[in-house]
Amino acid sequence: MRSRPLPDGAVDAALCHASAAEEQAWLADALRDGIARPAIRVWIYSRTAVVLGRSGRQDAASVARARAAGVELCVRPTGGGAVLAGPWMMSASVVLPTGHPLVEPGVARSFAWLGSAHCDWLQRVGITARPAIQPVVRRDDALAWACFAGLSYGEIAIHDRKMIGLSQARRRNAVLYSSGILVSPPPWEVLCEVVGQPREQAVTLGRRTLTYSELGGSVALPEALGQSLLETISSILLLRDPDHDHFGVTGTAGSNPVGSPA
Amino acid sequence: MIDLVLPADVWEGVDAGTEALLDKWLVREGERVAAGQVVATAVLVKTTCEVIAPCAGIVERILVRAEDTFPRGKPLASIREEPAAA
Repeated sequence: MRSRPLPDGAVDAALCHASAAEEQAWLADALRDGIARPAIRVWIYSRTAVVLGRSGRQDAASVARARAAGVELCVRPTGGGAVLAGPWMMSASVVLPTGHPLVEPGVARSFAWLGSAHCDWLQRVGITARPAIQPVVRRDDALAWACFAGLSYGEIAIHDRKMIGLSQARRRNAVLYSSGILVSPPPWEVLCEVVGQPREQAVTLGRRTLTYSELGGSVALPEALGQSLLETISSILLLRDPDHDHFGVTGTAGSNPVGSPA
Repeated sequence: MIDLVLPADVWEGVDAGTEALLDKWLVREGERVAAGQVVATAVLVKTTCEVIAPCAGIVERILVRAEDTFPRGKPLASIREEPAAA
């Protein structure tokens, strides 16, 4: 795992180039051991991996299919459906102490700040969006197994197509918030194949989703995109932390370090 | 007998009719638990939550099986309250 931390401050923040398995190992450690101060990691993936939600089943058949497809298979500690990690996706993990002011008791309301934070970041890179207030419920949806097929509290869709998915894990020591951001179109057929679903569902997944590059954003500099997300979330955490000054992290929302969509 | 539930405040803001999933039991019927012990995990709107024993005692009966869904307020198990062993 290669990481680049922001300068020392009240928030432990770093941009990481890592595999999904390395990401999951870091999350497991943070949730098990707890944390002294809020921590943020923005993940950029170089390898392909299918990441199942906590209630997803990693059985022998799915392990064999992942091996045959040449991709990693892992289970994350948060809920929600399966995602396909790779160069087309960027993720953010925010770990907060349980008493942090951003941790609302209700799980639905607790997504609101994270959805708003991602909208602030999208605004910074030239995209206007709002987080979902209500989930979109599709009865008997054949794609209910896939994270990006549905829309839940705080998640972000543009033109009714999902771009950013969110999930949480609550432990006694800490609360983890995670996001997955579609940067460019994923090979959805790989996800369908590994989870054992019909390949035709890949077409529907493509129709239900929208990516940063499809909105005209440049993906030539993923580090700059990740850094701007890291700085946006860090700024929000610092503003909500009364115990620290607000200048512990470099960068503020408002600048535009990456190419805006046309 | 004490009902074990997913606390009401966790459900705040969640649409009526939404159900949670009992992900995994970490204890069995007849097993002694301590107050504050994590006895199960559940998933509610993309959030995994720990289910905490409210008192020390014996898990008398599991009422929602792993991988079943349950509505707001539904008892997940009953616990026969007993003082913790000295």
